[in-house]
This record gives sequence, structure tokens and C-alpha cells, in this order.
Amino acid sequence: MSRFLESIIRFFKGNSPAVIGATIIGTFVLLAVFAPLIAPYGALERDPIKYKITDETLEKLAGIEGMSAEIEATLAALKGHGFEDKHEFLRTIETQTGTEIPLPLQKRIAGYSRHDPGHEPPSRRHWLGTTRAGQDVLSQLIYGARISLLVGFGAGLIGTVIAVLMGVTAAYMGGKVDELLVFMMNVVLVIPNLPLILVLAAFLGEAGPHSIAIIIGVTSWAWGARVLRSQTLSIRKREFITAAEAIGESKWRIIVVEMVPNVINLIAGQFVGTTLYAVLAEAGLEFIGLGDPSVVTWGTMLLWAQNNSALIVGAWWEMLAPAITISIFGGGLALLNMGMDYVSNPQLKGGGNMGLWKKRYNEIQQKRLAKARNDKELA
Amino acid sequence: MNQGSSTGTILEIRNLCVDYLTEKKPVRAVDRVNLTVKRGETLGLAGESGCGKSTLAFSILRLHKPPALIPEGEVIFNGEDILCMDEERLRRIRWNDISVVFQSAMNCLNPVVSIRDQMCDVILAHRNISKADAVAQAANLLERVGISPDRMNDYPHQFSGGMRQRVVIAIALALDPQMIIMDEPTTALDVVVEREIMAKLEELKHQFGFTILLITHDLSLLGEISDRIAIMYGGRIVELATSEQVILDPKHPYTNGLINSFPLLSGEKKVLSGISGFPVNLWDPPPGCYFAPRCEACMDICKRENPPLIEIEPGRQVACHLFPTPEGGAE
Amino acid sequence: MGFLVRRFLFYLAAFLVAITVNFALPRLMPGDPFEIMFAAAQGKITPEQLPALKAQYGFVEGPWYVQYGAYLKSVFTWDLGPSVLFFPTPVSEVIGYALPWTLFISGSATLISILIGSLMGIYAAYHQGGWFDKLASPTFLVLGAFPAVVMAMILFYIFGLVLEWFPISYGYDPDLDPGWNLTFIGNVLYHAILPILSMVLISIGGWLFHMRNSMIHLLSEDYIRMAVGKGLSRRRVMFQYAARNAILPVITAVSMAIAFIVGGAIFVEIVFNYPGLGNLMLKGVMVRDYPLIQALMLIIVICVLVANFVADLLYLWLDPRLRQ
Repeated sequence: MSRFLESIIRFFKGNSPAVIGATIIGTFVLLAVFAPLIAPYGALERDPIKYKITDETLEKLAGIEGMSAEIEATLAALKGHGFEDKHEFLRTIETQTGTEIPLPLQKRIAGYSRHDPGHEPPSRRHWLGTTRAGQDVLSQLIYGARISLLVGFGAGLIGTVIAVLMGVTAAYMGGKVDELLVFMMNVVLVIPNLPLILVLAAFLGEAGPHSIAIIIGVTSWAWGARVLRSQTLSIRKREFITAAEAIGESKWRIIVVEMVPNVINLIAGQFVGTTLYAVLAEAGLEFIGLGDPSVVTWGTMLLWAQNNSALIVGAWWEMLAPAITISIFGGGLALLNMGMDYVSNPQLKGGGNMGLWKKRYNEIQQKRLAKARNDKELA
Repeated sequence: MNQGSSTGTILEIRNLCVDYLTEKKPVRAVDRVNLTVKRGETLGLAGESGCGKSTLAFSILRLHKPPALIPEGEVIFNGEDILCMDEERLRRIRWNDISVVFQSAMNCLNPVVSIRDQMCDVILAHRNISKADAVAQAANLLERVGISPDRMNDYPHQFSGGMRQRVVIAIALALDPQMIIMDEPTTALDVVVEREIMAKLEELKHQFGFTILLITHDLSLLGEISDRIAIMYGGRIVELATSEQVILDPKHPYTNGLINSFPLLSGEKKVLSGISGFPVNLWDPPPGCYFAPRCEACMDICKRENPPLIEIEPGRQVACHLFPTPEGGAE
Repeated sequence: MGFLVRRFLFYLAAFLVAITVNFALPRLMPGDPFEIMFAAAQGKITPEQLPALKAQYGFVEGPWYVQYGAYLKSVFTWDLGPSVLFFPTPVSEVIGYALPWTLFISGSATLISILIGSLMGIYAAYHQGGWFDKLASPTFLVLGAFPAVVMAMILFYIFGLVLEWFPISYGYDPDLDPGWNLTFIGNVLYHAILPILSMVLISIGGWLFHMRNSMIHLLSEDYIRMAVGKGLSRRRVMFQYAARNAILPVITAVSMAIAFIVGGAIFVEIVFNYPGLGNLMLKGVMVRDYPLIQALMLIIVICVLVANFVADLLYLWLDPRLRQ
């Protein structure tokens, strides 16, 4: 256990992309897990419906057939008053006319004066504003993280498992099996998978989160499989595999026990990469309406914002909030991936030591040049 | 011991140190090396892998790569310190005056550029001549190393290992340099090809008259072709003498061990013994002589003090407490 | 030239796989795609036209291999029947209008991002750990993690709606008559700037990183050290020795990158209502115009395969080791 902790600490030490990336992703995971505790409102909860009795409403009400004369007169008298509350309005009429308002009329009043809560800009009550349906954008983001993350990680997992199976098997089996698997990898790699995903989703009709995760997972393993294959091939040539073969261990045991642990870094990197791709693809699919619009995810939030013409009517928060959230999450994954690259390939990092080297090198060279100039002057 | 830069000296390395910068502390790969190369000679530099001989060789032209640094020392070439040169002066001296033959010809030729272009670019970078003249010159050079100029437009992968090494030597000769540094030029080749290449080199040396600094771990090869041999251990030079002296009468226990672990091509048959123990760990070097833990003749002083490189007889230097300074005291 | 023949055969095989997937999908999916499609067509198509249409879409009477043969024939003669959405215009014609637009923006975006991305990658690798590497590399990496939709939307909002610097919809000003004149071409370029920029911004990071990492691996090669030792100019070492070799593994990654850009193009076109294949795809998906969607899929696959083949030609030209 302590060795595990140590290796984690070693991974993050001096690796700022990994630290930033992991922090972002960790935060989102926590938000998603504790959504009900953190979100200020429910995911689909709307602001209470508002009623506003304008002069227009009064005229409409006055035009109703079978209206008593007293009420009609009172309505006319209330013009310009501008009630904000339905009940206050009803009470005023009742006290002024001294009669009870018949139920059908009450319903009419409610109907004519009803106003959708509509877009509300960011405020103290709604930090990120509301959607056109009066839902809290922040709460939707937090609840949406649940499905979006699940789909992303789920697709990442499916894609990685397929990639590992294909890649390691191809490398270890070699021969005809390898040829066939490589052909499959290359075909899947060369066929652009977003159009393929679109076609699949179109045939499925409205695809729920599960279908989306599966579709993305099964179409985006090829690159990972190829990378894993070539890495496994180079490991296969090393002595300890030859030794295991000589001892007579079974092929599958060698694959699982000897080879997979040696490409675990790569597998983790593939998982992060595939998840990143899945999050991007999911957002795209749902944005163009191939997902289930009744499920709150970051992608469907984009879809609703687009359908509500949020940007055109000036409600930028409804569109930009999910857009930027997806980007931050994606950026976190990308940074984590970069950090992993640095660990398995320290050469790529440069960073601290390289900077120190440059500094020292320049210092030494400056000193030498100065000395050379000095010597020349003396001579 | 210091002769200064007399006419007979082409290169003088003074007190050269090379550090590898690491996370924790710098590791000293080359430690206060003093070495003089005489004009026209073939000086061999030998030692186990990791003893700093290649690092030293690359430092001469400042071809060291990060994280290597040269914190101290001077490399005086024809009276001028290479370490103090500005970029442009350095660029001009490289290859024009000193060229390098790299260890593996496979890896030191650009795989996607034709041999012709790789020869011409160095000529054109230093000489103000037309492309056609450069091509003619390149053809001439190839011929001299025994490769048909018809193959100029070929790419490195189309040549065999031995031929590639010849190409590399042709490129090294392109500007008629005064000195060539050779870093294990034949380790990647089989013995027959190695002999061919070395014979060719001898021949070329007679024609061109350059100085060679030959780095290798192959003492038997050095014994045959070099005039003098320097032995390195743990980044320090431990012995420097003529070839015969080193091969037939080694003074330093480490040299002795090295000689005994090599079958010499010429000379009597003997039992090979080798050296027990492991090469010095430069991360955590011992306080005294680096060779002390492996040395059969180790004394108390060896564990405390590092023996300086001293001249025990004219032209012969050893760094070992077995050979006290003539005056009887340390430096 | 064995290399090119092998690659060509591979692309042909990949294309056949794509056709087969296309053929199998409507036959494997639950429900009758025709019912859904004709329901969505809302009376544009009469029931009497149905059997003839079915045949045109490859749903001929007979076992699967007869159907497959008919489908193959329709694909290779590019006679894919009428689009449901634009009934009775043939699918091939509908696609013919949209294809040049997509080729234009995707092609430009690909070339621009390769050029800028690799140059930045070379610079970042050469000055590894320098300010540019520390700043630009992670920045473009994070930009590359933006969904295409989001990047397009952000540019749409900032430069289209708020600043009003660029048009936000369609491929050209509808008041203009299309033609090969400067006004029209200028207008097309003006409309293409934001879509292309969206794609360039998200794909540049990939090239930068590929090139940077490939260069860094190469910079420790002996031939780089020898080139420096030869006293060549810094520029020559960088381009003729390092970059010239570093680009090779980058080209092999092109197939993934092209697929990525094509995916991005679909969404960018939707956001900017650009008259290309992506927009058509969205319209087709909305009304379940399966013949159109499937043909779009095929044409996109063809474009990507051709682009890959071009990359192979480039590889062959750049790497003498393959020319045997």
C-alpha cells in the first residue's frame, strides 16, 4: 500500500500538467458524486411560475363573455396598477366588488397572466443564470456531470479494454492472427468514426447514454490497439518473456502476468485519451440531437441552448456554461495525458532539470566569453 | 609536465571537468583531465565503457549534450581555447580543423538524405565554392576511401556496415582537417571489416597527415595503431605512455588489469584474468583513488587520498600511490 | 512501387468494409427503416412509389448476396437513388453541391494546422523547456481538448455576434451570384474564416505535440550530433536533419488526424450553417433520410481514404527507405 502511495507521489512530483489535470478531473468526479448535496437546485427544477397582471391582461379579461358588470368596472379601474402577484390581484377585486370570483374566471386570470420564468442572467440566486425554462444552469452542470462523466469513462473503459485485447493479443500471437488484427485496426483507424457514430446513432433513433457510451467505445479503440501492439512487440523481445516461455508458462498467463503490467502506463494513457475523445464525441452527438434530450448532460444542455437560440437572444450563459465546462474537463484529461507521457518518456519533459541546465550552461559560457575578451585586451 | 603550446602540440586539454547535471547533485564524468595531443600522432584513449572517454572526446568540440556541462577547464587548439569561442568561431573550427568519426555509422548518417548531399552540405558550409565543385570534391573523397562515386546518390540504408563507416570517414576528411577524433569507429563492425577500415585509415593518414585521437575500449587495436595511449578510469586519466610501454610494461594496477583481460593479437599467449569488482559508481565515489576498492595493491593512503597524475619518467605519467612523486611529496 | 500498390489495395479493402457496414446497418437495426423514413417524409412520397424506391436503395427481392450485389453496383455507379429530404433530387446530386464546400474548409484547415503546428512543434522541441514550450505546448493541448462544437460556438459568439467581425452563417452572402469573380471569392473566403479557424485551433495542438515529441526523440540521435559537429548552420541542422526525419512518424499519424478533422468539420459546419456535408448530415439525421446519411458516410470515407493515400505518397517521397 505504501509503495502504491509512493508511486503516486512520484508520479505527481514536479509534474505540473499531471497535477493540474488530476485536480480538475478529481473535482468533477466529486461534484458528480455529491451532486444532490452540492447543487443548489434540482436538475430539472424550474423557478416558480410568475404572474404579471398587465393592462393587456386586464383588457383580455374584460373581453370575456358573461362577466359581471361590477367586475368589469373594477378591472377597468385597475388599469395602470400593474400587479406582480396573482393572489394579491384576486384579493383586490374581491374586496372592491364584495363578491367571490367564479372559478372559471380565476383560471382565466391565471392563464392570461402567466409568464414563463425565462432566461435570467447570472445573479446571486442563480450563479450561472437560468435556462429558458427557468432551470438553474449551475445545478444542471453539476447533475449533468454525472451522466457525462459516466458516458465518458464508460466509453473510455470499453475502448481501452478492446484496445488492450486487440493490441496485446496481436503482438503476442503474431503470424496470421496478428495480420488479421492489424488489418482490423487499420481499417477502423482509417474510417472516420464520427460519421460512423452519427449513422449508427441515426439508425438507433434517440440513443440513451448507455447506447452512446457503447457506440463510442466500440468505434474508438484502433489507435490505442496499434500503440499497445507496437509497445508489446518490443517487450516481447526482452529476456524475461523468453525466460517465461522457456519455463513453459501458458500463453495467456504470460500475457496477463508478464506483459500487461509492463504496458500499464500506456494502458492508463489510452484510457485517459479514449475518455477524452468520448467526452468530445458525446457532446457533439447530443448537440445535434442524437441523444436523449430529456436526460440532463452537458451535451443536451448545449442542444437546448442551441434550440432556445440562447446566443442570439443574448442568453450567452446558457450556451457558454456547458461549453466551457466540457472544455475544462477535456483540458484536464489532456493535461493528465501529457503528464503521463512525461512519466513514461522523461525525455519529453524537459522542464526543471533542462531549465537548470540551460541556465548553468549560459552562465558558464558568459563567464568564458568575458574571460576571453579580458585576455585579448591584456594581450 | 606542462609543455605549453609548442609547435609540436596541436591540442592541449587543461584541467577539464565535465559534470552531468541530475536532479540531486552534479555527477562528475570527467575529472580534471590534462592531456596533450602532439601534431601528427595517433593518441589512443582507452577505458571501460562509462569511464568518460567519449564524454571527454565530445567535450573537445563542445558536442556534449544536456545534461552535460563543462564547469572548468580549457581546450587549447592551436593556441586558442575552444571553450571560449563564440558560436560562429566554433562553427568554423568544427570539421574544418577538427572532425569526428562517430561510433556507429548506422546512426550518424541522416537516413533520408543522400550521401552526396551529406557530403556537399559540410563542404558548402565551410568553403565558398559552387555546388558542382563540391560534388566533384565529394566524388574524389569517396574514391579515396574505396567507394565508387556512382553510388553518391544512394542513401545510407543502401550501404553495408563497413561501407557506411568508409562514407563517414570520407565525410570526416571532407575539409582536410588537422585532427580527427574517432569514437570507437569500428565497434559495430566485424573483425575483418575492422582491419580493412583501420588499414585504410593508416593509408589516409599518410596521405593527409592528420592527427588522430582514437577512443576505444579495444586495447589490442590501440596497441597496433597508436603512438601513445592514455588510460581512463572513473573520469580520470590514470596512465599515459607510449603504446609499447602501456601494453608491455603497464604501471598502473588498472592498466595491468585491462591488459590481462585482453587477448593481444601480437605477443605471447597468456592467461586472461580480468578485474574483479565493479566500475566506480560516480554517484557516490570513494574519497581516495577511485580504483582502490578493486585494486590488489591497495594501501591505506589509497583509500584517503587521490593520487595525482605525475611524470615518473620522461613522457610517462601515472596516477598511483605505488609511484611516489620524485620529490617525495604530493602536488 | 510495391508500397503504393499495397496501400491502394488496403484502402480498397477498407472501402469495402465501409460499404458492407453501410449495407448491414439498416438490415440489422430493429424496426423497419423504411417505415420510419416514409413516415418522416410526410407525404412527399406516395405508397405507389415505394416498391420502386426500395429497389433503388438496394432492397431488391432475393437473398442477402443478391441484395449485396445490387448495393455494390449502386455504390460503384454512384446511383444511390433519390434523397428523401430533397425528394426527388438524387442523393448524388445533393452531395455534389455540398462536397466542394467541405473539401475547401477541411482541406484548408488541415494544411494550415499541419504547417503552423509542425513549425511550432519544431521550435518547441529545439527550445525545449523554454518559454514557448512551457506556454504554447499546454495551451494548444488544452485547446485541442475543446469539442469542435464548443470551439465553433465560442468563435461564433465572440467574433460573430459580439464583435461582428465575421459573418456567422452560410458559405457566402446570399445576395451575391456565385461565380469565379473576385467579389464572390473574397466573400467565400470571408465566410470561411471562422469555420476554418475553429478547426485549426482544435487540431493545431495535435500536430504541435506529435512534431515536438518526435523531434525531441530525434535530437538525441547521433546524426544530429554529427550535423552539429559538421559546423552546419543551426537552420540546416534543424530542418534538413531533425525536422526532415521527425516529420515521418507524424505523417503516419495522419490517418487519425484526418478522421479527427472530418469529425470536427461536421460540427463546425452545423454551428456556422455552412453549406457542406456536415450540415447536410444534420438535416439528413433529423428526418432520418437514410439514403442520404449513408451516401454521406461513404463520400466522407472516400475523401479520407484519398487523403490517406496522398499522405502515403508524401511519405514515399520523403523516406527513401521505402522506395525499393
